[in-house]
Amino acid sequence: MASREEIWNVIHKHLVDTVENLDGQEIDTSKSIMDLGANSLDIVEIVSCSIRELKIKVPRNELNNLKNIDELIDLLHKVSNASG
Amino acid sequence: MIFNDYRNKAVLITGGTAGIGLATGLAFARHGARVYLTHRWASADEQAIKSRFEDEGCPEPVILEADASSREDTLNLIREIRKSHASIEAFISNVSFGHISKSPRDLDRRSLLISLKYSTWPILDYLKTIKAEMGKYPRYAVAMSSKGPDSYHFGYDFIAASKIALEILCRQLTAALIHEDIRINALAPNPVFTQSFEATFGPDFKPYLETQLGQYGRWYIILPEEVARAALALCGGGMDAMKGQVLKLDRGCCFSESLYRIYAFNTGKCD
Repeated sequence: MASREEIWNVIHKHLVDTVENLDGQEIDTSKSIMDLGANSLDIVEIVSCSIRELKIKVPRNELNNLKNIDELIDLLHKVSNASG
Repeated sequence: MIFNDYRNKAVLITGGTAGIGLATGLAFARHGARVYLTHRWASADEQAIKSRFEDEGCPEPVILEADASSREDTLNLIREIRKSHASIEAFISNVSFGHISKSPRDLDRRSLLISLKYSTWPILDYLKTIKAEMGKYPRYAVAMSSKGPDSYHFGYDFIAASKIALEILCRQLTAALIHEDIRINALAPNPVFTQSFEATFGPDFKPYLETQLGQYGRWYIILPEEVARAALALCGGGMDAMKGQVLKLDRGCCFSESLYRIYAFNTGKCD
C-alpha cells in the first residue's frame, strides 16, 4: 500500500525519465500527460513503468478514461490501497 | 490438416487474450494444446476467455500477465511454464506496439526504439530465454508481421520499421539456427479488424473502409481466425521444410489491388 504522495513520486520519476525537458520543472497535475508533451507511446511507458514499480494491477479499461494526472494518481492510489 | 499431436503440449502466445492471439490460442487448443496466453495491464477478462475454451471442449488456457518487452517478465514466464512442461512446442510472437505518428516531425529516436522494443525484440528475447531455461528451442516459432513493410500507411512508419526488422530477424535466426530443431516463419496479413487495429488506426477507419471498399472490402480484410489457421498450419508438421519465410495472407490483393480494380469490382464492371 502506497500513499498518494508516494504514488505521485513514482509517476513523476517516470514522467521526467520519459518526456523531454520536464526535469526540474514543476508539473501541474491537473494537466494530462499528453499536455506535457508525451505521445501515446510515452503514456504507455509512463503508466506501465509506474504500475510495475508499484507492484499493482490496474484494469486497462479503467486507464482508458483518465483525463489528467490527478485522476491517474487517484486510480493507482485506490488500486494500491485495495491490494494492500 | 494437422499432422502433429498437440495434446498436452505447451504453446505460448504473446498478446494472446484478444484478436489474432486469442484466435490462435483457440486454434491450437482445439487440437489439445495447453496454451499459455500472455497479456499486459490486466487487460484480459480471464473468466470470459476460459469460458470460450470450455465451450469448445478445449483444455483450459493458462493466462499470465507479462510485458513482452520486459526481460524480467519473460524470464518469470518461461520459468512458470517450465514447472509444467519440459519444452514449448510452438511459440507465437504476436504482441506488437508502436508509435503512430501524425507527421514526420514527431518521428523521434526514442519512439523508434520503444517500437522496436515491443514489436521486434520479443521474438529474440523469448527464443533465447526458452533455450536458456529449457535447454531447447520451440519446434515452431511464428512471428506476426503485417502489410506495413510492403506498402505505405500513413503514421505507420515505426511499426512498419519494427515489422520489417522482425521479418529479417526471422530469416537471420533461421540461418543461424540451421542445426537446431526449430522452424521460424512470419505471417504478414492484410488488415485484420481487432482491438489493436482500432488502437492503431482509430475507431473511424473500419467503418470508412467498409463503406469505401464496398464488396472488395470483404476480400481485403482478413479475419483473426484465418491468421490463426495459417499459424496452426505452419506448426502442424506438414510444412516443416518451410523455414525463414514471410507468408502473406492477402488473398492475392498485393498484386491486384488498384483503384481501378476496386472501382470495377464495386460497379459491376468485372466479376
